[in-house]
Amino acid sequence: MERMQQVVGRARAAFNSGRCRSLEFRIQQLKALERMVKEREKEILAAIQADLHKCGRKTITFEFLSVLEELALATGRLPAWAAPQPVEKNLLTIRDETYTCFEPLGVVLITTTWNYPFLTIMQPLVGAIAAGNAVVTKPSEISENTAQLMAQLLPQYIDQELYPVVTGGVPETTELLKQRFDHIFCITNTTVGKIVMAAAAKHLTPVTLELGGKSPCYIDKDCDLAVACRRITWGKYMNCGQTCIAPDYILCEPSIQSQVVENIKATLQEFYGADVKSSPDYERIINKRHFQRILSLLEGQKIAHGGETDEASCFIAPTILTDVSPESKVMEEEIFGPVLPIVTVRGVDEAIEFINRREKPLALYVFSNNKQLIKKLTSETSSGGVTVNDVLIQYGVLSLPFGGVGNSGMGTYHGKHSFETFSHRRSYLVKDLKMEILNMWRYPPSSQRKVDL
Amino acid sequence: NPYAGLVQHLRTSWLSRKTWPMQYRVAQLEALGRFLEEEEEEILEATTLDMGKPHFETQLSEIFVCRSELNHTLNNLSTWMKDKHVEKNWAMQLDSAFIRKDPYGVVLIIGPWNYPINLILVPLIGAIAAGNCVVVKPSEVSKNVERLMAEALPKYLDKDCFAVVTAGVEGTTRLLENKFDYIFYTGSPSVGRVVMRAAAEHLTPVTLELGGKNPCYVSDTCDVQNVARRLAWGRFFNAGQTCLAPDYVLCSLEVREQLLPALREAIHEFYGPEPRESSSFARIIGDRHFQRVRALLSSGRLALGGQTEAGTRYIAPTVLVDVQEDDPVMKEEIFGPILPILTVKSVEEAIAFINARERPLAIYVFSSHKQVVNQVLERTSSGGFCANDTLMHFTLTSLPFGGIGQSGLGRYHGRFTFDTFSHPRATLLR
Repeated sequence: MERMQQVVGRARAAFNSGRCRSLEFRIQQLKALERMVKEREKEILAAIQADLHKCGRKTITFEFLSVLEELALATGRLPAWAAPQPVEKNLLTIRDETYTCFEPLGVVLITTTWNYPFLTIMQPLVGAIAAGNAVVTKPSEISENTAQLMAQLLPQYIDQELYPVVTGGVPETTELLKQRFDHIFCITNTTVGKIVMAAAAKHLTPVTLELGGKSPCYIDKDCDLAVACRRITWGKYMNCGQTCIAPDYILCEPSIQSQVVENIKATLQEFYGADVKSSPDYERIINKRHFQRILSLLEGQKIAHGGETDEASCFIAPTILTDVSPESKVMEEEIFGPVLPIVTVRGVDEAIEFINRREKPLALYVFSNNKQLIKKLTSETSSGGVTVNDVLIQYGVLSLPFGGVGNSGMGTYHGKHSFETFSHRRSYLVKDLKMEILNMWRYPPSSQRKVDL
Repeated sequence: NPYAGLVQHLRTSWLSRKTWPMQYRVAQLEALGRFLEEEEEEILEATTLDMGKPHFETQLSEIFVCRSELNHTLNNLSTWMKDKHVEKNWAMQLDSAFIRKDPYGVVLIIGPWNYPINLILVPLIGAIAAGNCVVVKPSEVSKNVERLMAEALPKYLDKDCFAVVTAGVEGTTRLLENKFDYIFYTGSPSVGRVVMRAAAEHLTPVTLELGGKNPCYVSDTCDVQNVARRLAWGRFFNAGQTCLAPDYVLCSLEVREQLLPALREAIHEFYGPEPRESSSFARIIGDRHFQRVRALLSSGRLALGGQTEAGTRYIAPTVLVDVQEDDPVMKEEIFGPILPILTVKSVEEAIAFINARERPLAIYVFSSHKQVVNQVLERTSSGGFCANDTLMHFTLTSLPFGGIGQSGLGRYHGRFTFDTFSHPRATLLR
């Protein structure tokens, strides 16, 4: 499709014009984005609600707050981030200027996902613009209301040629991936991640892939179970479980399994009331395809709580499964839904072995008061990130790099990490032409004296 | 899959966490230090056999660089391994938020033939320092060094955690079918694509140190003899087989007229009246490359050098002038002792010329005027930038070394190698 070629070509020409090089320009664009978020809040809210049946103000507030925080950070700190950084010199360079500088990469592609459709567009976009790039944004077609809205809104506030929005589905994305970019940022799943990286390889384009996986959550006997379960419930069922860093499954000893279930049940009651379906704070599954997918994970499982569904509204009740077998379907793929399996293990050693037998997850959660146990579990496993005694909130600490490892992804972003991801760190050595005598040692013809020097 | 057993063996060692403790990493690094010391004669001999590398060049570009990186790493490892605490927001004042540097696991390092010791060992140092198990695949083209590494390295490093694989194209392709947790490749862009494509199958992150044509702008006002010396040194070191070498010169006609006699003088100073007889001038690695580079001599007009001798794979330090953009010598990375000079009327024209082409690993500028240096610096993009010298930014361990676009992705040296082979794991403790 010529359209993609043209869009990318225009963005490249706009980048080459040099206008997004200046910090003033970038800050101006970021401030325009800030205005957009504040002025058009209602429309953005409505779009997200339409896409995800989100009524809960809390969730959306968190999205807006995160975006505004990113914007504030970038506009405030950009001069410091973009300033040349002197580096330590050695004897040979003692008289020279030696430094590094973060510079724009060029034309960047951002393709995002549907579960937090506004947040996942804006966060990388802020970093990419701050870093001085042209940015082609391709929002997920599954959250189509948000995608259409962003395609309308962004050109009203920021430079249309530098920051085009491309809407469409798989054919458009495939065509986009044939074009040459200087960085590709993609939030997706493992399968698509491989396709994106293979496409990027053709042009030697660096990639940041924010993928997913099954984030384990280990609950130790020695912890405040009520608090732990409240936090887990919050993180698991927020957005109907459709969160890449949601605790996917629980590992705990058999002796506390029923207590865990009871605590979660109690919290669910507290959050959503007796009739979850009519709670304004409980979302729905994004579409029928995912609804069917999650439903099939329940087959043959012991449902300790929940399990009610309604296809017409894509409703799946908050569900807990107990005594889940590690080989079952629900333990094979990322659930991305309000189903919480509990797998029992004999202790932390077995939990570690269990986790290490599987692909590296995006997040690892541990609930415990035992510092030794925490240390053991975290140091003997690998994951994108670790949060102890809470879930999800690591996402909100912008000074922490957010990203996966292994099948859960590569590269990081958030805050300054986004800026660095979308930049090239160029090295500079500036000497002068005098003092040639200092160079004589390195020139041929060689001699033992020079070698000994 | 012929290498599955080997990779599995390393993975088992990895899971045993043998490479995690700092003392283990230090012990392995110190063993590498002993390899450099005890095998120095063998290294000198092997590099001479492979490409007639003068001992002095090997001492400087291979042994000294590796020792420098090793010492820097040993001196700083404990700092690098520490958790890095980050800024917290007000809600988390009682919590602990930091970045922990986790090793990736089993990593693969594929090296090239031009600096076969340095370009394997420096990444290896970082990979070991970061706590990984490593498979090393030296280039089969520099076959004497390949043999030396395959025989000697296992005597110094823990065989359970570090392996050397010798293989050609076929074998390397099979090796890449295995899952690694990081791949570090130094070589050409075309093979870089193949490596990244293979890495995509397993979602393996990569660092690719590639190449390109590094432009060198020589401005109208500068001390020509010093320029010529620094330029000749960078171009003809290792008979031009350096990814970082100044590939071609852009200058005005006036500057060219001054530069040519100065270059003649510098070449004479370095290699004597007959460079073929100098023990300070290397040879081309193999017949294929010799023929490739020799064919480039027909571009433009010969100003200096141009002599060749197939038997010893000798190509004289050569300067070509009146070279056009579409001449063969401007179509590929030269990787040989030929320096084409193209004339431009101004620094603007030079900048436009540079920007019309793929972004190189390095851009060089020679000028005694800061504004000229700044103009080129600000209006171009490259892996690295060096004013008034060539190659030297490679030797400063505090400067990250890497390309952009077709010249590569990722960076290393010093702390950056350690970071390359570490996963930054965000940790929040409440």
